[in-house]
Amino acid sequence: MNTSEARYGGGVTLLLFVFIFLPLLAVLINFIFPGLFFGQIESSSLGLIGDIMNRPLWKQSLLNSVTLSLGTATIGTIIGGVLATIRARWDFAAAKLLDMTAWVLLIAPSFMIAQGWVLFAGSDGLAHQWLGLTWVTSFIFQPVGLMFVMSLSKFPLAYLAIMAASEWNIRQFGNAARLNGARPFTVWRTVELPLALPSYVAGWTLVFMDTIGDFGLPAALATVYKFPTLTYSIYSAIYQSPVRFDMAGVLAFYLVLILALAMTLLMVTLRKSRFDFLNARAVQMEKVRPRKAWLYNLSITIFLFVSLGIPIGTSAAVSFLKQAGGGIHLDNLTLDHYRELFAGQAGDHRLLGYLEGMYHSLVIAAAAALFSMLIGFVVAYMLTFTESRLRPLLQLFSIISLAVPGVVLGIGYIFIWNQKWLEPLGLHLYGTPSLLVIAGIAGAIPYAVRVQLGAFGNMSGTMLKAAAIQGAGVFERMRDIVLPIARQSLLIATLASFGTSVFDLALASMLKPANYSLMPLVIDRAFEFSRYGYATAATVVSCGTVVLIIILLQAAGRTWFRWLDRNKW
Amino acid sequence: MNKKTGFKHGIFIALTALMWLLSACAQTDGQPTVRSGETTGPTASGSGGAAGQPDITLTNGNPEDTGETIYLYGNDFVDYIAPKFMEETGFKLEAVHYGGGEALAKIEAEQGNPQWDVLMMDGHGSMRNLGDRDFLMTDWEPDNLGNLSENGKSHVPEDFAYFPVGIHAAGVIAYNTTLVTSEKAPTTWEQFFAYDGPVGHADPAVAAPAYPLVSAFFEQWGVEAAEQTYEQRFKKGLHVYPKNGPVGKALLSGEIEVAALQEHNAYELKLAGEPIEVIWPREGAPGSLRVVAISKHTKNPAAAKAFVEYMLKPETQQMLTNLDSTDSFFTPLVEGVSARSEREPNGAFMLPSAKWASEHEVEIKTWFADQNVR
Repeated sequence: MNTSEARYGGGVTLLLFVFIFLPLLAVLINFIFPGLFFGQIESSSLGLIGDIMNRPLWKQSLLNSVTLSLGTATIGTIIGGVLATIRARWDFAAAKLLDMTAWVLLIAPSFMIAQGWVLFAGSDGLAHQWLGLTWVTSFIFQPVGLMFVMSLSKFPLAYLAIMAASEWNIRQFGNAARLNGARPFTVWRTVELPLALPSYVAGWTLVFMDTIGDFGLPAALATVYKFPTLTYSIYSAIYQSPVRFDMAGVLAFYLVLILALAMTLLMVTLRKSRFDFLNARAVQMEKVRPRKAWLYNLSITIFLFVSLGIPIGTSAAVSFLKQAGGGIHLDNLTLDHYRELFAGQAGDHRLLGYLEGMYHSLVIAAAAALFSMLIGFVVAYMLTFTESRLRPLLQLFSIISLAVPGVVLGIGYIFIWNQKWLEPLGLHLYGTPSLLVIAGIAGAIPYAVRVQLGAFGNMSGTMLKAAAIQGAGVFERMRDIVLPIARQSLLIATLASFGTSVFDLALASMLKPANYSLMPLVIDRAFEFSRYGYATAATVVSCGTVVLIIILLQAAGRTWFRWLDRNKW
Repeated sequence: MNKKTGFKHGIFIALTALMWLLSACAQTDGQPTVRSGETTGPTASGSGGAAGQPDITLTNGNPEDTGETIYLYGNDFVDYIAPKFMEETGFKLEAVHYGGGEALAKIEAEQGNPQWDVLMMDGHGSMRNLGDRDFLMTDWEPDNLGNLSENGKSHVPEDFAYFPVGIHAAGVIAYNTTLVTSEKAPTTWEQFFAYDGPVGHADPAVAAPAYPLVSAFFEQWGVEAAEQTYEQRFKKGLHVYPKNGPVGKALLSGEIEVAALQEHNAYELKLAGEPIEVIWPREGAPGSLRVVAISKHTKNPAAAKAFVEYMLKPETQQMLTNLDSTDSFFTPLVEGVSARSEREPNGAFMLPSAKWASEHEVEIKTWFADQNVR
């Protein structure tokens, strides 16, 4: 192996280790030696581990998390499966709309969606006060109702996973079975189900993992309905009294354990059901125009209206209302919340400064996106074009933070970066914005690496070898060959990282410096103090701004690349 | 170069990159990693600005004055107190708003590296607890301590770990008049706990005055009896909201009919013309003693002490009771300061001793959080 490649490889491996693996390791170490990070070494007391079963709060959190995630995964997979099947088989106008909504829901921060639902279904919410639908409140604020709400926002994970698999027509196998005398049910049981199963299991697991790590829903619910989940109890073990750092670590450990189990299930299913059905005779599913296309269009549109329209629409509507429960009539309409947003310092602890928060969040997300893209570029390069011994480690580190929830990473960061001995080194990062940047990088790395791996996958290594023989160093090879080819996906990866980290409520809540305003915290704080107008106006402006920035940067990037091409760069 | 040196180089570059990254990040965001005198940010309830640089004479005259900005963690008055204090004394102070539970948690988290200098919050029990665990500066007697009323003096601890500022009702009985008639409304705490209908109050894990509320009942009735009473109450319908704001909202929306509501919130609703009536029970309202304390590791002892002196001045207390905000509802503990006239003038308080409230804090809060999810 080339030594300069080894240097790059060692460098990024170490960075990923420190940014991603070390915090997770800290959580695991805390499980064995609680108190280690607070300057006292105690051997693991099994009592602490068993405490989760003794203390009703923690037991209930575990139970709530597991039931919510199981329910959501199941309902979400059913919704995703039905939609994907319809989408793959039929050709109808609303299909495009469905894809778009799925992506919007996938990217939208879950706390915003959940807040929209709380505003809609709460006892002084839209459904109750305007539409007189009193049953909505009692339906939503109970475990099954929450599963329903979560499924409506998490189904896209299952939808996309199943869609990818149902694009191919596998009727030939079924026909062969039928020719050999199998009944339709036998065909479904022995051919269609085993072939489709992996994508369903993958979809189910993805929804399960995303739901169990979710922080947005319990955070949005906190003021109206008591539904402690593992993620929220981790947060409250750190930010509420009495403080239990050790226990937060233990709860985080349980969360990681459940996630690991889910991952194992996914791996086993994928391995067990390896059929290479995509052979030379594979044909893409031909979409047929259904006889009653209007029926499909109508029902899909209604569904999308419920899943996206209700939460987003409610938030948008509330932002223009003087009194959230006052109804839509001219006297109740106002732009005051928006004015307040831009009025600068409110002098009110309930309303964090919005412009400052937006500035901080944008800068932190931009820094996180840039660094994660750079690191991701080197990681993807190492994984694709080298034989480095560090590759398995890089693989592992670059995927972990996809599965590990922000709250767990957050507690890990507190363990690591709140050590007293770091102070003289200037590395006491807890309570400083730099930790938010690092956390942002950790969160964005999996996306940055995956997108770039995809782009590099199409590239032949021969060009690089040829360049190396001509004497080009690893940096030149990256700059002159890989970068120009992969730049479009690099840009998209950067923008995607930016878009996700700018709204990360979990990490912002866990790692916030004192008196430091951040966009998701502005929204959350105003929501907590029932300043719904301010919260929703901030939501609307934030989403608009971020979408606008992404569109502009993308357009600018395209123009720039074209200019580079014209000028023979 | 062999592989071993290659690896060493790799590590070296990675470490350098990391250092660079961290320092770069800290700079990007306009806030240095280690706090210096001046901070950015309009959320601060006032830093720099009004006061500018500290008075030269003050800095020169006092060896304890390091010139650094001090941080106040607090729940009430945070929006007003910083600019007023800076204007009067020239010291720089930044007030950070936390709920009581949040402030305690933050202080706990910063154990290794305290970022706060002064803490002002409801609940002498929690403060006693911090004092016993060596978090607070002790044995310094403020000059203005003599300004305290007799009642105020009775709450000053022997080790001077904290100083009482005011007392208010952590909970009075508030009921929604559209749902409850005045005959049916509970007038004692016993009736409140026996009330046939949904009632609510704030969460002691989050809201500062909620622990004084709960601990007063626990002390009054004894832990075991109080636990039983609460268990019964949970069965009959007891809604616990994180803070008093949401409790008031739930009372208005009819989700609960009666609440043990902090007095500011109760009077705020009543004065705003909402259908809320307030009852100050004859046996007393659970008292929330607001105290101020200095961190043992304060970066600027002169400024922190000046803040305590400032809080014990009659002018300051009068300014606070005259505020056009519901924060002004409290009984000032400095002699000769008048309280808001809208309050119950002779309301009695139930107040457990600091020692008792401190010793039972973790036990009661933990028990309560566990009951709350059943």
